[in-house]
Amino acid sequence: MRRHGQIAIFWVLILLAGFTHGCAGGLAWLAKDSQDPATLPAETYRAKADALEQQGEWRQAVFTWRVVAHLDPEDPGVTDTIAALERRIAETANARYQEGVVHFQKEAYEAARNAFLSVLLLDPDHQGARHHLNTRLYTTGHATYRVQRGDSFTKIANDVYKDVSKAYVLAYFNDMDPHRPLLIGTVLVLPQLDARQLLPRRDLLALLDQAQQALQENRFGEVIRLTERIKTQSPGNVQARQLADAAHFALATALIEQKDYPAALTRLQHISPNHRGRDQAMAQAQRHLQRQASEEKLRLAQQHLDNGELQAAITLSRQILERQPAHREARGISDAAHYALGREHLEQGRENQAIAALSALDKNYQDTAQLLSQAHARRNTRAETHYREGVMHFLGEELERAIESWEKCLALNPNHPKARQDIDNAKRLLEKWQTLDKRP
Amino acid sequence: MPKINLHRFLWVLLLWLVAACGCTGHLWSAPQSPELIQADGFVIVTATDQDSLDSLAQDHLGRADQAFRIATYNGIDRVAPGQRLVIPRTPLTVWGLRADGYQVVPILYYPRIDPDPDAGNTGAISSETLDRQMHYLRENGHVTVSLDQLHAFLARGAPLPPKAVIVTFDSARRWVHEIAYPILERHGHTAALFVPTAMIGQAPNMDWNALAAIAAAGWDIGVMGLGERNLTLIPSDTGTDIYLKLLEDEIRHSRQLLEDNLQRPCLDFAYPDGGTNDLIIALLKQYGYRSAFTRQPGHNPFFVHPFLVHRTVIDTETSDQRFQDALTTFIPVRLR
Repeated sequence: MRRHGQIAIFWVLILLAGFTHGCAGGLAWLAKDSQDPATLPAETYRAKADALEQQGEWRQAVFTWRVVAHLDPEDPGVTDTIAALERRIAETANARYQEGVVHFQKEAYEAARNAFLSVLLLDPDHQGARHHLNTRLYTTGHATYRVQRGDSFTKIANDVYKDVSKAYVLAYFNDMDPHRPLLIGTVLVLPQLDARQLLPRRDLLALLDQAQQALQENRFGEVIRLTERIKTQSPGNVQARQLADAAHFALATALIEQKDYPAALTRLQHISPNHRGRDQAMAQAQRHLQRQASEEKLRLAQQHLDNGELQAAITLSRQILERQPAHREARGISDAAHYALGREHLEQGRENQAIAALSALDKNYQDTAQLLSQAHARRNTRAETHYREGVMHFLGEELERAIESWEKCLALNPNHPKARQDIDNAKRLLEKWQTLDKRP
Repeated sequence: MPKINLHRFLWVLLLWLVAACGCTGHLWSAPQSPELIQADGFVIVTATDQDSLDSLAQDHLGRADQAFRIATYNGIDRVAPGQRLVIPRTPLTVWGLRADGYQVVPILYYPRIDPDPDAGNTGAISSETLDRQMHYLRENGHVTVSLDQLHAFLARGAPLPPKAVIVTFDSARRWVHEIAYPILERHGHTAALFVPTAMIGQAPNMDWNALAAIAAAGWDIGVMGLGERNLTLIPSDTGTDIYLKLLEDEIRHSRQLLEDNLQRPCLDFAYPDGGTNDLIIALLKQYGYRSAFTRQPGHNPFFVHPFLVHRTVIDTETSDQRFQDALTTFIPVRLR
């Protein structure tokens, strides 16, 4: 009996495990399902649909109501809402189309266009609204003509275009044979032909002759005016281009002579790239422009030098020398500024700066060589003093101070024969002492 | 150890299976992924960390370039892992229309780019300026679209990215391939190039290989007649019938030449010098073109005349402000 009880408990446990497993699986599924659209916040989409409806985006509202219907299939009201909104869309689209037609008939084209656009917003496939927008609302609509007794293509072309040769085009445009008689009552579409008849060749040649004559008489402005006129009639006319190039070139050359280089460059830019002399003239104008800029810098550099603003004088003269290394005046200002700066540093005990300034000069410049040697000697003397101080500190077992002095020595004379080695030795000793101090 | 009765065990096992099935609900049938819900007209997905707007658009709308449709409906500019998104299968915005106005497509026309602004090419902007303007487009969310996309917008109201823009050049010169193309490519933009087909291969113009390379890189290639002759100008002493024949040559043969060499349809035209008239438009329609581009500035809504598409000329006269004004993409009008 007890054994049977144990068996029953065993099977009940297994059964329970099975149910629990099943339910756990189900719970896990439900947990996952909390992200499922069935449990997505239908309210969010309901609010979105309402907002879209309010904004006048009714098609998007219908779509969103359909999302709501999917998320909340239990709500019977959604289907009714969709149906009502779809009816409203159809009715409103129809009403607006009628309004558009009325506006169109009254020639209130902008109001008509907006009415037809609002129809397509509601019903993108509305053929009537599309037809009006795509064909009837163009302001460039064609005029028409109803054929009367005695008409022919030639007569109509003459009456409408004052040009009998347009008869052919008129027939072509209406897809008709220009040689067959016209039937009375036929409605012809009259194309807008703003094609311009070019000047006869003899007139163009006359203009070219005038331009040539003007060029010979140095009336360059007139050459340019005449060639511009030829260009409108015969784009790409080579002779006109050459005459215009010659006139622009002559004007540019005069501007270069007047030293108006920016205006000369602008004028040269009108000339064909392959025109003879153009590139050289542009290079010449650009060189002059650079020279003008250099002269201005030179003036400023001299001014800085006179005012004792040596560093500014050096910067400006260096800028000139970078472009024109052989510029004598710039070199002169640069040397004078470096020399004065070197002396100033030396007088104020800044030997390293003095050496840097003087090193930029030729050794033969005034007494540069002497000053440099003085600066080196003073620097070495001061370095040696620091070195000796260091030795004194070392002997007094003040290793940190010794290192400090030797470093000053090295700063002045990086090539000092002993300072670096002594610093290394002192540091090693210092380390040893510190190690010994730490021992118990 | 209790002795197990096999018969009873099988019954219990069956009972357990039924219970498990009842609780999980999907033991026998293959479940639909709870992450993806297909409904009539839309899909609901949960974004994973592998997803982006582009990948979701590719998976559910068939084209990555439709990502803006997902972004617009869900009011987002990027997806976050775990985010639930509703993806409308059909466009909700057609013809670029909204209750507060309508979309227009800015089309920029660059007459000439020159690496050396001092070289004397009047009106030519420098490569630095082009680079700066292409950078501006990218940084401000403008997306360059193709002429196919423009045509789909004009003909069917197919949605375009909200800040769609088109960049165009009318030239066969080598600078298009050597200067403009690398700059646009660096910024991830595409463009439409209209060429005078009879001038390809003649110095200083591009050869057919260079043009084919640009086409292969995704640029649209259109026609600009045979030469660069303004088609509205009738040569002197030429009868209208002869003029008509000349126009036919310019319009029909130029396209034929381009298509034969590139082995792809070229359906768009740019008027040389911007000049057009009714006759030219009629001929373009007759010979199967689908659109033509002027040099008249203006907006391009879906109802623009497809053979009088506006373009804004960008040259040395174009200030930064004018460039930005040319990029208007929406005209506010109350359509309720």
